[in-house]
Amino acid sequence: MKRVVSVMVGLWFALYISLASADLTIEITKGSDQAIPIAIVPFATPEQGTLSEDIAQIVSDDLARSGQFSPLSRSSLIAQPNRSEDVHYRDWRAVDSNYLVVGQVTPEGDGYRVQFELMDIYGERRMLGEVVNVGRGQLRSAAHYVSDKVFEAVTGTRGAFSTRIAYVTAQGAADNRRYALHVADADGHNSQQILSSQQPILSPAWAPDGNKLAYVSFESGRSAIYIQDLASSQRIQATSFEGINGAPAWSPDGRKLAMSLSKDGQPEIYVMDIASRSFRRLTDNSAIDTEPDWAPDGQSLVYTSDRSGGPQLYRYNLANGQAERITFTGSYNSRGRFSPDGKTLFLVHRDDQGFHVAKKDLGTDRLTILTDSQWDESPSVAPNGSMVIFATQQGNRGVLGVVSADGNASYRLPSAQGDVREPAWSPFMN
Amino acid sequence: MIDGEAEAIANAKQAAQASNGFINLVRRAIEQAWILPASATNQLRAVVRIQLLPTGELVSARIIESSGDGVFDRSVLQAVERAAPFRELRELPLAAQSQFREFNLDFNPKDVRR
Repeated sequence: MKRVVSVMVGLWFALYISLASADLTIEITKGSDQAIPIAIVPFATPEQGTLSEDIAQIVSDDLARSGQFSPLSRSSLIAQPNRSEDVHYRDWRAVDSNYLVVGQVTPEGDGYRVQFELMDIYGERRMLGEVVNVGRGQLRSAAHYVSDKVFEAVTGTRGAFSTRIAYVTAQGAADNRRYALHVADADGHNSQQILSSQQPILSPAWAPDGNKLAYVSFESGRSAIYIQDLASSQRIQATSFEGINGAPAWSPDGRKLAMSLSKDGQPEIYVMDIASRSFRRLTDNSAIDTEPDWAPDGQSLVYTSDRSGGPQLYRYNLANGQAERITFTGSYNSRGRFSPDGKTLFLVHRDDQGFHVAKKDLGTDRLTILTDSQWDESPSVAPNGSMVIFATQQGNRGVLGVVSADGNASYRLPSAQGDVREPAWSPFMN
Repeated sequence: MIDGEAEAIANAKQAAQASNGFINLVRRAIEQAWILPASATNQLRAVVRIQLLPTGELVSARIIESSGDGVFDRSVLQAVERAAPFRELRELPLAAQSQFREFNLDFNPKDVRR
């Protein structure tokens, strides 16, 4: 008995000594996936009159939509500083905010001077301080710029709030249907119609420089692929073969378009050199091959084929001309779209609940469903890879939805009347 | 002699148990306060050295082993600051308090998906 007691004293003592030595280390292996609390104080504005836009509100909305931030409500802002010199870090700790954005807007020339600063509350440090000058009608752009800078400084990922989206609307009864192609800010504001037709418009695709759109229009009575310059509205007809001219996709260098053409029988994948108008045929089989998308490195394409009996994704290697099937989960996987780093494919996956946006990790082969509505289609990825826009149904109307790449946050874009479909997220614009 | 040993055991055991309780409390508080960056991977690791006052208030928190990722390093420092103060330190037996005036936190996420 005595020996046992001695051994136990020894053990406890050894443990005690090891804890008492200066190098006690506590391991932290878990974190929370809550959104980052951030306080965005209303920007000081000119004394006379009010501004047409509330910059702090736009920044707050942008950051909240990303799902990665949780902006404090205005009523919980305990002070209203507009410059870092007036910030008392202790105040903001009391409301558990990790970051603080302050700023002011002053008239300058024909427009405004927008000044903003970002503070790390716990580090008691100014992380950003910048001035942007914008024209009179560009306060929303200035706000999105602030959002981009704050997002990047905090998360390390470039913000995509200053990007744009293209989409197609359809309005009116069946015998008087009107289709239109629109371009809008990523938050749905500032929409502009760039084409209108009584025949369907499909598959808008942004050129990598963000200045042009390729799309399919049936305005001539049959399908044709057009390339339209957004600034000048000038356009060229790229293809108008007999049968299907569909699903244009720009190569990363902007010189080629991959597409689906049925001119030689079944819909097959072709690559068109835009300058020379020469074609390379990639697929040759009795199935439907469509919806190509280029890998970011330009070395391969993914496309949808039903050669196995149902739609599945295949990857075509441009160097050796070989295609391999890459989706095996479930009986329906289509419309693959690469993440900007090329490591993930976003796609449409059908399960017994309906059609969802899903992602496939190309390293681990894991397929993860991101959306839970029934009729989700046409995913298109933001240029920073953080969000995916898609078409879905609300009631019996087509609307646009956005989901974060991890599936944790989602929202619907406000829309006018009619059906909205075929969204395409632009590249970075600057 | 047996009595003396029994008392030593009781004291050592009590101190060890109290210490373990405090370690768990610190760990839970920091895990709750640590907002894992979306870009975090389980390859990242950072070690923070912290100093506490006898009251449990934070004197300093500094990175002694950087993850090499500024966003990750900032997130762990914010987690410590958000979780502090650790006032429960005052409730520890005196013998156990001294070891927690200065210690390390090893941030080593194991539950991230990427």
